[in-house]
Amino acid sequence: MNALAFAAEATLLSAVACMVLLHPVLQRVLRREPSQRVAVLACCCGTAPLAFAPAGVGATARVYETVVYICIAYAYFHLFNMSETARRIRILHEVDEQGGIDETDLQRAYSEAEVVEKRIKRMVDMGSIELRANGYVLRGHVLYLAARILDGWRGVLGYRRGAR
Amino acid sequence: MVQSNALQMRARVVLLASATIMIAMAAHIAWWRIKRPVADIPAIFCVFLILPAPLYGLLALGGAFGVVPFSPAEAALAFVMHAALACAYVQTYPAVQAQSPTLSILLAVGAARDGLDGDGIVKALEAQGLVGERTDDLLRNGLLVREGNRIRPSRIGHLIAGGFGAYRRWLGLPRLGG
Repeated sequence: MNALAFAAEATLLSAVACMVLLHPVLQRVLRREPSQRVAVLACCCGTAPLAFAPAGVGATARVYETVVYICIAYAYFHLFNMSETARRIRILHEVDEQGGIDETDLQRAYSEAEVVEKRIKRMVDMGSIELRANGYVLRGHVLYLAARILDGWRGVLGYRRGAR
Repeated sequence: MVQSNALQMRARVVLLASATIMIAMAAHIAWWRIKRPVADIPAIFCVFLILPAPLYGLLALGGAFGVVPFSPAEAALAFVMHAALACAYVQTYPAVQAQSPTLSILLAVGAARDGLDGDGIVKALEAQGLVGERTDDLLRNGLLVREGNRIRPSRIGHLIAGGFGAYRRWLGLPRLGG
C-alpha cells in the first residue's frame, strides 16, 4: 500500500509542478491573451503527467488522482484570480505600500468606479458579455451559470440573495 | 488478505474522503444558519481543515494498531483528497460571502432582457459599498488595523500583501488588479 501512496502522490506532485512552472512561461509567451485564460491553460497543461501514471494503478486510483488534481488546479486558479481581481488583496496592497493610509485616500487610490470598470472590461475580454446598441448582454453562459449557482448557495448559507 | 497488486487503491479511500467532506459541509451549513461567525474565514478553515486534520491523524494511528480498517497510508491519501476538496470550497467561499461584483453584474445583465447599460450596472451594484465592505472585512479578520482615521496592515496583512506582490512579479504581470 505504501508503494501505491508513493505512486499516486508522485503523479499528483508532477502534475501540480507542471502547472505551476508552466504558468509564468505561458504568461510571458501569451502576453496578449487575458491573463485568466492563460491561467486556465496552465491548469489544463498540468494534466499531462496524469496520463503517465504507473501501469496497473486501477480505476479508483485514476478517479482519486483526477479529483485531487482538479481541486488543486481549481484552488490554484482562484489563488491567481485573487491576485488579479480580489478587492481585498488590492486594498491590502494599497494600504501596505504606504504603511498606512486614511480611508478617504484609499477611496481615491482605489475607487468604486474602478472596481466596476475593470470588471466590465474583463468580462468583455473573456467573452462573457458584449456591448450592443441597448447595452451589455450575455454572450458566454458558463460564468452566468456559475453566478446563478453561487447565488443559490448564498441562500443555503442564509445570506441575502442577489438574483430575484 | 494479501492484495494481488500493491498499486490497486481501495475504493474506501475515496469514500472516506467524500464522507468527511460531506460531514464538514453539513456542519458548515448548520453553523452558518444558526449563527454566522463574525470571523468567518478562520471559521471556514477550522471546519474544513483544522478540525479534520487531527481526526485523520487518529485514524492513521488507529490503522497502525489495526483498530480501524485503514492503513496509515490510506488515511494519509484520504486526507489529501479531503484537503484538496476543502481547499476548492474555501477558495470559492469569498465569492459567496461578499457578493462578487463580477457575478452581480452578470446576474443583472442576465436579468435585463434588452441589455443593461453602464448606468444600469452601477445602479445594480449601488447598495454594496464595493470598497468599504471589503475594508471592513479585512479589519474584522485582523488583516488591517484601525488607528484613529488611519488603517494600516497587521503583520499577517503585510506578509500577505508582500506574498501576492512577489507572486505577480514571478508571473511577469504588472501590479495587482482589483
